[in-house]
Amino acid sequence: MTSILRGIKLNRWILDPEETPWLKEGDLPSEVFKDLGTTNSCISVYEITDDISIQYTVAALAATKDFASNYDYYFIDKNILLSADLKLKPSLGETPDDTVNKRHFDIYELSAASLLQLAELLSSKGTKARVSEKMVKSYLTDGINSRRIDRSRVKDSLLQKLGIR
Amino acid sequence: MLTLASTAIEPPPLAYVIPAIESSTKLGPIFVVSDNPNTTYTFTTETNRISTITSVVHLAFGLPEESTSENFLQGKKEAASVFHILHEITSNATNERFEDGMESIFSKALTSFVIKFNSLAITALIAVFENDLANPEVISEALRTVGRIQDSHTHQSRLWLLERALIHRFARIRDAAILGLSHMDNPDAIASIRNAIKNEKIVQIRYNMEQALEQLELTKAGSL
Repeated sequence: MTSILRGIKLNRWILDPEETPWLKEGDLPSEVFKDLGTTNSCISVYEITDDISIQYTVAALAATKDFASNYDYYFIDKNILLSADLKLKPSLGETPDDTVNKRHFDIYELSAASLLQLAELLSSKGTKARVSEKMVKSYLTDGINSRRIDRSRVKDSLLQKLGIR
Repeated sequence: MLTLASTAIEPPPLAYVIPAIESSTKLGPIFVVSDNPNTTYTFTTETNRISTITSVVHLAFGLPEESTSENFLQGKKEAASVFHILHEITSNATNERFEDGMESIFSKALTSFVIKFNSLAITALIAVFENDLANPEVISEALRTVGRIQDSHTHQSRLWLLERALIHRFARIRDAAILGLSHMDNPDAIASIRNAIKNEKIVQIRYNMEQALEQLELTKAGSL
């Protein structure tokens, strides 16, 4: 199965009756749109295949940050998005891992309605998960040591916090 | 002018009443530091609007032990100043967009604030998050930042703050507390996390807590 991964902040997607008692069943708090920011009506996602695992993708995305932190994401079967008429096209990613970059896609021509549809699909049919900070550090160190991740494109602040000089 | 109108119990010798937004018509956020966490205070303004403060910040850190009038006033002045600074930092953060793994203007400001004011800063933070004086997104980011600060002077008080946040009524604040505690990686938090797991009703948060607990237990086992 080919899946699509999108980084999120997991706690924005948690339905908390204490904080949002006004939210109707099946609806989502508008906070989730902070995780679905668009540029030119496109949103950036990564494809997960047998060759490019979640571990490699998370490491590549975490390598773009200022410091190692937990990494939260949604992943969803690519076919679910395609059958909902969401349009995907490949475009080169901008992580320090060129193999992962080739698995970058844009979901494009997104209207407000289709963005809401994407949020609902992620929430109802996707799986949300968290990679702990310790695990992210391990993925990053492994990626840099194995040269999958180009360390020259990783911020000094992150390398320093990983103890890699 | 804000005045103490009545109290069911006499105020303790050390009680700092610090209105962050004080006016004759509006009762703003109130910050009470007391050595009695179980006291309920009632305040009134000149226009007789009454607010009952049930959440009293326990006097735990950094304030003078003896209440001479001079150090009382000095402590009151300093605490008010610290609270005003925090109020400004959190207000400025309201429209900032936070992202995991990225420094924010808010996280930098809060880190400097905690390092500068030490435990008094932590006490002010408790007042902010227990009285919902900032939005949950900002409070969550604050807790995550608090866990990341590298400062041995405030380690215990920051740990205490995060443990306390594990029972906050909002799920995402409890989740942020877990992330802060995971970063601190101090096994002293194990008992608090175990208790929080017992009471946690939201499956995803309980799972996140269990993951953090597993990490701290491994850390503890490794340090034995």
